[in-house]
Amino acid sequence: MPDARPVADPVETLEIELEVNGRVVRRSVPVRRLLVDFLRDDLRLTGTHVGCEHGVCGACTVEVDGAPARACIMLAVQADGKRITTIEALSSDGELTEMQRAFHRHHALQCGFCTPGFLVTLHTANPDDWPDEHAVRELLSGNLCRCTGYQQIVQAVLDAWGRAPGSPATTEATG
Amino acid sequence: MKPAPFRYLRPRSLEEVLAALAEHGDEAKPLAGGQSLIPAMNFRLAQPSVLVDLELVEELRGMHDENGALRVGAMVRQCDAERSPLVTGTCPLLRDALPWIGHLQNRSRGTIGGSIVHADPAAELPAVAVALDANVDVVGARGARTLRATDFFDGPFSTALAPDEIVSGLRFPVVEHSAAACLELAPRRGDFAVVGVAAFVRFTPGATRVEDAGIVAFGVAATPVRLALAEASLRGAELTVQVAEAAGAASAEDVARPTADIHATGDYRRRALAELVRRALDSIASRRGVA
Amino acid sequence: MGTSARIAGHDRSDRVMTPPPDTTNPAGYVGVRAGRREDRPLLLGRAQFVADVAPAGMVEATFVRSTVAHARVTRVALDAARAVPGVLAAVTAADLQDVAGYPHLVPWMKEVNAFPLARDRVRYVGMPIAAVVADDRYAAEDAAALVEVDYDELPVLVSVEAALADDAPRLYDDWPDNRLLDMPAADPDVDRVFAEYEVARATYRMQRQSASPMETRGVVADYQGGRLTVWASAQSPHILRTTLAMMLGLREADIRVVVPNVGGGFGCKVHQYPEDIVVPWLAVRLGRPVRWIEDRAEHLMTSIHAREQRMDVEAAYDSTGRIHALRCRIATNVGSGEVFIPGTATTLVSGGCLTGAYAVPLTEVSLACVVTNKTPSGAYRGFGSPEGTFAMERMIEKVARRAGVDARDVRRAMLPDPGDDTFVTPSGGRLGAGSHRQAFDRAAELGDQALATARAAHAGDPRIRVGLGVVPFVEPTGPSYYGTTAHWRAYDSALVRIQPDGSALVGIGVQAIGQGIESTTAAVAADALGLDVDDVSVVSGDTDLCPYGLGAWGARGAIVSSGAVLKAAEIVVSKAKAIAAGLLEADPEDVVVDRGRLHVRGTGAPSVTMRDIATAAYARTAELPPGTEPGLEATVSYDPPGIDLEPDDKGRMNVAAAWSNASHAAVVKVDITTGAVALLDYIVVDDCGTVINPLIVEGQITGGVAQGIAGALYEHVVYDENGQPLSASFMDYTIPSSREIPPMTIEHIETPAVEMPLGVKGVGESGTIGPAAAIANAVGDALREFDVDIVATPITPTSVLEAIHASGANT
Repeated sequence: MPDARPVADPVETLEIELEVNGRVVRRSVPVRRLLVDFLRDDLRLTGTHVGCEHGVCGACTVEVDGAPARACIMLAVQADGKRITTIEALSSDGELTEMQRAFHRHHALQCGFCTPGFLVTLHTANPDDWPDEHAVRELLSGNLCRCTGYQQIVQAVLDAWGRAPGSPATTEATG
Repeated sequence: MKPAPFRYLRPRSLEEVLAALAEHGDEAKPLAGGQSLIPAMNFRLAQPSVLVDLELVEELRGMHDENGALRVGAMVRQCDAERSPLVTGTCPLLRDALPWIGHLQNRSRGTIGGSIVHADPAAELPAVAVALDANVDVVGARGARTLRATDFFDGPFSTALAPDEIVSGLRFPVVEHSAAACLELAPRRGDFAVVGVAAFVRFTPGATRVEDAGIVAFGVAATPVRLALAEASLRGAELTVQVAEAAGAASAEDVARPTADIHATGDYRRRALAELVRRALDSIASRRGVA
Repeated sequence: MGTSARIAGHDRSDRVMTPPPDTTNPAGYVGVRAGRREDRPLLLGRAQFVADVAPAGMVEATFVRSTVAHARVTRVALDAARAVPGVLAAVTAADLQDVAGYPHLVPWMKEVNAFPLARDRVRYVGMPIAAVVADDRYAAEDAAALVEVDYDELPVLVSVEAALADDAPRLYDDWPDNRLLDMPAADPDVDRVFAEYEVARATYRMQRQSASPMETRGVVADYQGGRLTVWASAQSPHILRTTLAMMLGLREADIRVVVPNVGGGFGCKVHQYPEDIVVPWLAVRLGRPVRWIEDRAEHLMTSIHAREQRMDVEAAYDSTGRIHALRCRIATNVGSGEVFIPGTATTLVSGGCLTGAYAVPLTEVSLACVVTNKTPSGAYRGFGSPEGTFAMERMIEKVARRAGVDARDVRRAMLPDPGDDTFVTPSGGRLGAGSHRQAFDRAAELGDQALATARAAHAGDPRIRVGLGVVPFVEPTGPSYYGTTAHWRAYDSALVRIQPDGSALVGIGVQAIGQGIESTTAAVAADALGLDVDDVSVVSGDTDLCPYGLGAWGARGAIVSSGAVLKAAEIVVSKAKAIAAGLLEADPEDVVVDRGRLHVRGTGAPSVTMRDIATAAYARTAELPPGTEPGLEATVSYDPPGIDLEPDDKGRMNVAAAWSNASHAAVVKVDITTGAVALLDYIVVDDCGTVINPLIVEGQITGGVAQGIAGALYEHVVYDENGQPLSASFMDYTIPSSREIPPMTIEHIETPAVEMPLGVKGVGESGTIGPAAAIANAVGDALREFDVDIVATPITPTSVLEAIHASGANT
């Protein structure tokens, strides 16, 4: 994937080239187009959801060059030359991943609208960096869920990562 | 919630960035990580007509030791600084503050310089810069200058930066015999602080007395506030539980009219600030061994 | 007595598909802890939500909304907007000449004459004034920004106190006051009791909240060949269809409402909003598919709010703390009231369920729904019960304190004895068989253990106090819609169709909104039809296919959908048996159904499959017994028994098909230096009757509790004195994350509801009802040395510190 090219003079539309789910995509986009709209409306990858459009809820989380990012506060032109992975590419041939299976077993989704964001965040995470339940809750705190109360999501993650669920960790309201 | 129209350019060098800013004046806005600017544009609270993406500018990247200071390029991503052994080894206050910024998904894009220039009064990094008396390196078409962090923040979301200037990086002094702590209270994990404290204490070499301190409150006023009375109460003292408590109490006098908003009253902020200062100093006292 | 599962940390994969010990049908699917059929497309990112619907040629709408809270609109200038490239239309109320206003359904409410776009007056910030359609949302917003609106501003009312003042300006010029609904009460018997006993008085308040499902609202409409198709994120697709027909003047047969996956509803999507009407109207007018997706700022400003209520409570009590009479004056701030279906019934529930299962002999409850210049309020999970429960439970604490007795004893003494299924609430609720005291005792026991652990963990920290709050409550389930709409009551419908290959299609009127109704309905249908669950497909959310139903709300799905499916299945099975009897040359009475096979009673008997029968019913119809019509399906409605249509001579009526009960215990840690409240443990002992799928029931509870916690501690829709919203983003409307919501412990007691299908009661709202009361009591317990009385939610660090300092304590 070549790096993004310089743009010397101000433009209103720009041809961008990026890798989305393993395929190189080249498109001309209005420069104000949000990455999430580019993915959803231009590429029809509608698994990435729009929940707040101001970078709080995490429903639009996608992987950008290996790190989780909020596609609702990133311009499509900022993804030029980057490698993007969305929920659609986490599993191949419709086979659920270990994490997706754990979500199913534990009933870690209800309406499922926030689920792709959680799964992408988890996909980018190294389990070793999140050693216990408290850490897992910290990892998940950038994704809001309105249905589950998070309990089953936390359990699914602990299960998928082969952790014996320990005693419930204390959750602090603040610092 | 979609941004208003604008034009976009992506210069390859600092020189081109400055030329673009000079040409488009205050119609233009530099784009770093976009974690604050793009939400503001989505709400149409910000409507720049030209966006100058700093992504390709190599001069704004990189972290290194520079004459006893940690130099952090403006475009260094917050997550990269957070993981950097150099930052951990030379600037514990910065390391302590970074995990408080938003969430992973924000820090993966957000930059050190972007947070400084955005100057949110409840943000962590401006407070860290003021506490450490960091230098802010500024470049513009008319030349380069260095500002002390204390002089950089004018008001909420307002800095001493001219429209044709950008921040190229920050220099945080590396201080021997010091320890630091950043703490905050917020409605939820990852929110901007209702009350925050960035505190740094330099001890006398080989001794336990406080030589100097930088204690800054954020989220309580229009800019980060240096808690001068609290700092003064520490100088020359042993950092005991009582001294920490007294410094906390002194901090209440340092903030004349604390911010009041839907998240907390001014009185609340004053009271909680005293407690946070105390806790930060307690934490510093317990970390002193590694200073 | 039923299953008990501590799910915190115990919900292991090896338990999936393991039946719990007590199931209604040990051989079947009901009662089994099974993963949901809904999950797979959601997990793969392939599920369709309304924002994913994109008919060819689609254009996008946005709305110009009032920026002031109260004004006459004197001019709306659209020319600049219409001139923007890519704009197809910009319209105001004046363009909607062929649209009828929202119907006035409820005779006991005053008329608000709501119209989808403001005609000449705006009464809240965010009220839609104009709609703009363009090639895409970006261009539409560009154009909307150019619409000029001139306002002649009027005085602004934001509180019920201001709106009820004698000299208050009126929101509706033809009303005598600002009471949308007014039900005063006076009872001389209550006066007499008050004269005899000690009286405690307090004013309790709950704050305005937003349902905020992660998916906002949205509508896509397309008009082709004389038929209108409307895709919407909605909880009641049929009622939306009926509303569209009434307001757009179309035949109901020419409207199809399709509800794809719904990203959460929680009540706010039961209403038929202005955009639901205007977007289809635009699609008809433009001859193009039109999409509108609510953004989060719009949601927080204009989707209904809920819960803002003042409750003035007086209790007459004796020296044991027992309450002999209760007076309550409820004033709900319903915003402008311009919402359809109306949003006033939560107040009725607050008043009607105020005393829960407590034996309070006399109550006098006055209700008022007061209009103000805020967003209209309406349905949000819990629907009035969290407010009333909070007031009642705080009052019990107060009474116990004044009487010098243990509040737990006061509660126990007023709860029905175990086995008593005759209890009737003061408002006429017939609670039936429940487990009020058992659930309470168990929650208290678990709470005590958790408190002891918390005490030990924080002993010696001078800044930390810990406390416990335990509260029992009831949840009216399968309720009547009559109090809300003066029309529909509690029924719903189902279609059960055996397809020619022997598989079953079940269409239901209850809407899937993430609650797992497809999975639970499939389990019920499979058991009833004797089919493998994988041979049952369940469809909701398509008005062309599904029979008329009232939708998803009120913890009704398990009752009414099960009831309708069981009735329809009985008809289908009966016919299948008749056909089988013909094929097997046996008596229909002797045919039994078992997992897709029908055979003659007795071992080794010949059998046919459901597929054989379906083949006979649809294809080889010559094989049907004489007089049997081809086809194998039934469409029925089910109206649950026990709901009163009229009040009795004392004004009492039972408005719910069943009553679930539960007790919640909250253990909190309060930092007295920062006012921070942290939940250390949250315990639920729940009785929703027969559990169809424990996994789903527990999900309903944990999610409901999280929303209750959110209301107790975190979320607040705030307005300034000019009626400007101050919390219209997720930065300021702070929905809690995984860091704030604690692990929970859930235990089930199963006391089946005698008259309900399978004995189910319903559980959708339960979790949300208890937390405000339990947490407030726990915080009060933690801070008892400061004599802090928690009288309002949210309990914020500021309010806690203020209360501590107001007590004069030296901290």
